[in-house]
Amino acid sequence: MKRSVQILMRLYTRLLNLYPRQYRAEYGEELQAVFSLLVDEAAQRGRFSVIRLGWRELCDLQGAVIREYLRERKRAKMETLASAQTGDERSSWGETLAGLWLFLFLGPVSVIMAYLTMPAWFQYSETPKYLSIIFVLSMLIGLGVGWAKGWPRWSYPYIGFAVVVLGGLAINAVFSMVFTVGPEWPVLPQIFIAVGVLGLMAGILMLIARAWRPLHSLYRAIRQDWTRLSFGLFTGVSVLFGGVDHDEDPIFTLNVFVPSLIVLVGALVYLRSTTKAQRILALLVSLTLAVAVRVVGGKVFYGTYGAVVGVIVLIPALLELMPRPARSLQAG
Amino acid sequence: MDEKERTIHTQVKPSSYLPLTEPTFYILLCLAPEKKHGYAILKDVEALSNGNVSLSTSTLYGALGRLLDQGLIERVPNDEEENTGPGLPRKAYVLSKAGRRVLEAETSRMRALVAAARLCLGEERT
Repeated sequence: MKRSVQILMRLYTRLLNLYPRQYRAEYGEELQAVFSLLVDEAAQRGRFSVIRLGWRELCDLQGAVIREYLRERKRAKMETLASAQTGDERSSWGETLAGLWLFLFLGPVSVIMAYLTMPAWFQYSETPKYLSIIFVLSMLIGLGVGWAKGWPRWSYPYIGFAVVVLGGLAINAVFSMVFTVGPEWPVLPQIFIAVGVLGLMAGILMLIARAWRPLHSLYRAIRQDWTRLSFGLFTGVSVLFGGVDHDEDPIFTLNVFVPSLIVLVGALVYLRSTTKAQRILALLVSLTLAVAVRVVGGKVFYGTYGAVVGVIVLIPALLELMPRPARSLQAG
Repeated sequence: MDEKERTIHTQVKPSSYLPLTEPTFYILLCLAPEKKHGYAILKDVEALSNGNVSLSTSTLYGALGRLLDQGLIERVPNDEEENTGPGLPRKAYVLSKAGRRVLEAETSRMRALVAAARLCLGEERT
């Protein structure tokens, strides 16, 4: 009898490992103490009581474990939203890396891959499919994890990238409809249509997030800190600066690489900042520097393009500078 | 759970938590007189329900965690002499003010139900 009690206790201790780590740390010791008392009591009544106790615990455990994981997820979401309300949370290094992945890959890594280290089959001009697959997979994983975790700050580049991809498709459709005559498209209308479509896509995203219940948390998080939307759209700058001219003139490698690096550093500073003012400054300074390098480097067209896109990117962040009524926490 | 969240929960109307499930009602009920540790709660729930509600440890601590999140109970050190001993849990639970209001609201709700049932059943008999 003593042996079966010991086995049951050992089994119970092992099964407790199924609970989320935080829950175990908080209640593990208590659960073991209470279960131990119950087993002692059941042992006095006989073997059948011990078996019945063990069986009941086993049956209830599965549901309880699932509930605790769901509750932990909900709590994490609420904490994310609560910290978004104060706006003073700093992303951990793991989150920072997750947030920088797209900037890193769309920018410096793409440039290096295209010109310096990777074999010809991996180059942009040869087989863009490989990189496209990585980008799309990254975007889908980032969006999925970001959604599950309640849209933490690092997930916004993935949202922004999705907006840019959809915007790009829309822009191509518009251009193919509008600019059908002549050997070259006029530059200014091109820029304004592209930027208009990007702004429109961002607006549509906000409308969908507002109207569609599963995305309400995203809508609330952006409303609480508009720099998040700017940070998401900031990915568009990385796409713009990192994804042009690769097959046109290798001399421009540095002119593509340096602005991409500046955008990457801007994203890093944004993620590690603790105040909205710091975040706005990180976006503003990196955008200005990246555009300046691009213009000085001789690519006035893409510099101008970047400047106009930069204005669109910064508009949501600048909303934070406007006075707003004091917010109050609502229950439920 | 921080103080701000707890304040939010205490501002929520007690009726918004109703109806309580049977185990939740018994847990709150057995905490009404004094603070208790997990094992004592299990035994009291069983006794109060005449053996009809017998909770497993996972169900009990799941319910306690939820009640803590809702601010209906509080977790305190288990430092009273009769509750301390080898093998006994070191933490105890006590009903909060919000928890007491919810318990009273549920009791009133059930009293009204019983009164209505008595009335109807009495009418049926006559």
